Amino acid sequence: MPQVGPNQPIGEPAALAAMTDERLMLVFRLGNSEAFSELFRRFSSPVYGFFRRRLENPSRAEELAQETFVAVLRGIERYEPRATFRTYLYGIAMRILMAERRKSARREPSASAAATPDTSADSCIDAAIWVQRAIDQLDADHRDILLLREYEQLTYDEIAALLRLPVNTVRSRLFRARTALKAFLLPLGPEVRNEP
Amino acid sequence: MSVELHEFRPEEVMAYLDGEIIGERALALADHLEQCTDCSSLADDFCALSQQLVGWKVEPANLEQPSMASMAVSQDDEARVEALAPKISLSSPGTTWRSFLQRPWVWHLASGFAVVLVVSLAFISRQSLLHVKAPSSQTGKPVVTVSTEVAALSPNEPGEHSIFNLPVRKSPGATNGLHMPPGSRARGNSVPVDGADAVDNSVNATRAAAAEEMSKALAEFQRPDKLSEKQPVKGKNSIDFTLRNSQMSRDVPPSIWGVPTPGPNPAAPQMIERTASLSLTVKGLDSARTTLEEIVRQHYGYFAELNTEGQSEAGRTLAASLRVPAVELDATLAELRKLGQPGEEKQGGEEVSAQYVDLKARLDNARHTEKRLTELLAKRAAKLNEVLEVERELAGTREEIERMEAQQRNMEGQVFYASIDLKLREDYKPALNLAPPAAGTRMRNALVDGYHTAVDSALDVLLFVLQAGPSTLFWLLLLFFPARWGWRKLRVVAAQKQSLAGAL
Repeated sequence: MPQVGPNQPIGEPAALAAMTDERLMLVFRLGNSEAFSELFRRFSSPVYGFFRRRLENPSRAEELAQETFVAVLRGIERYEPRATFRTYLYGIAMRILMAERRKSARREPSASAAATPDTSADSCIDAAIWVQRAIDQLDADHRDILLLREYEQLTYDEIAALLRLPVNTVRSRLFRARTALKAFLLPLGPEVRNEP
Repeated sequence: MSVELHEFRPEEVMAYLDGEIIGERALALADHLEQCTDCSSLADDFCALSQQLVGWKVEPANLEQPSMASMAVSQDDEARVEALAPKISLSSPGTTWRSFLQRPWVWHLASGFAVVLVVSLAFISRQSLLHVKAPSSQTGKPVVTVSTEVAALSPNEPGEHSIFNLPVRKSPGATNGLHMPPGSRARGNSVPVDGADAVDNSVNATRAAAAEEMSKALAEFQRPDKLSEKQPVKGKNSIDFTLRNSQMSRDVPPSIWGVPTPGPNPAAPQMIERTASLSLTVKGLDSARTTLEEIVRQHYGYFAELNTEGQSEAGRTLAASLRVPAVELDATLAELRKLGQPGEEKQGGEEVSAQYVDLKARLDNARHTEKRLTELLAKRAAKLNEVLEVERELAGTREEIERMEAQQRNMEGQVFYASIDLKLREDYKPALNLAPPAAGTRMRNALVDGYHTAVDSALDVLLFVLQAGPSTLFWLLLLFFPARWGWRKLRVVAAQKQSLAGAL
């Protein structure tokens, strides 16, 4: 564990930007709020993307991303860098997502459908829909691992820690997910490409 | 792509592209990708797939950075996060019992312990059940749970006989030291019988009468000294036995029982077949045999079997099966012990009271049937076919009576006479052999011994595998999944530490 003392010049933005995520958390724990701002700057978009790709409602995705950072704030006193910060952060996000899915399933069964692609990006909408439909056809276990790897860019070890699975299981499931996704994307590809 | 033909599996190729394989393995895989078109094509497919997935983009986030102040304002969120925070925290300085219980491995471990505990308890209870029921299985009476041997040798308070030194609760169904299970009805003289026997009231009545006769016989119990006065030595013990059996007529029960027991209910005495075995080492077998015959004669017994053996490299042995009156057993054993150096000695007893009462009741019932058939034949049967039918029935009944009488006499004889298995071994004094066996003979003997040893050891290994194999397999199956789970958990933790060290 890195020793972060109050005498170190940790308050400067340049120094904060060079720090690792875990060190930033420790600095923030010592009372430096700029460290948390740096973390928020680094992870706000990825965390929002995490929820956005898994939820239909963009505003709800924003709320949950916000909740994730609030949870980080609340848990800062108990934080110890036993794992990487990304694992810690996405662990919180995953649990919030599960709670949201359970709530949505109680309210209306179709509410937890995956996100609709951003309509503002017209050039990418066909490809996005194409990819999204193919991903929707995957098994839930395979889909989660694939999304965590491809979009959240987590390593196999981080995914394993997050989902409490052996690394080899993560790797084999990811391989199967990619193989299946490739098969799902092949028949859809030409049609999508010919539409415009 | 055929996996067998490639040095690297497709999963490894994928992991390499994801940056999960490093070091020499990564270099080797990179070389392989340059040479192998299949793997190179696979890698291209994965890269193309990742490029396709990049097409799914989301709009930029419009989040406000939360602060401690905003947390204080938002009470709703605070409550939710408060509920979430302990769960999602990867670590906490003071681990509370609640967070401890939320960890899956705790429940896995607890489940494992619970399974082991339940299996152990079931095994122990089964063993205890078998241990307690052992006496009843020997006598063939499932309801008899009190060992009469113990009851006879160590009489306790009424109704409180012990089973293998364990206290027995006195139940309403327990009579005369015989413990009846709940729900079983005390029939006739309260001696339990087989549940499978569908006895009618007349049989119950005859059982009661048989028990009454047994009690009268017990009252006429004769002491050994009286026995000596009444029955002088006959010279041949087999004649003595025949005379005794003849005294036991079909209607008169034997006047001497194996062991009188001062039980709580003297109305139903106990009949016990007593057995003993004794091994002795004597100095001279011939003189010991003479003394043995004298002892047997003095105690009104006889030799049921007698064998002597003599070996060149060992002392002679004598094995004899003696039968002496049960009341003379202790005295006989005491005198036999004086023949030489006592070795192993065992004594035992099996209660046959219930069998005897049951047999007596069935015998009386059969006699009653015989009497009625005889009357029927004399008074009622008129037609020839009816006479023949009654005659057949009568013949069958008489045959059954004779069989039961023989069985009864045999049982009475077994109770009256105790069995002693005696083994006498002469002290062996080896002679000095000045001419040792030839080398060839010794080698041949060694070869034969070696062969027997090899066969025995192989058989021992096979027996051990057969004996310990099933239980070992069972425990391996039981512990395999917890062990595998623990191993994976350790690997995950190690991987986390490794990645953390890299990050820091």
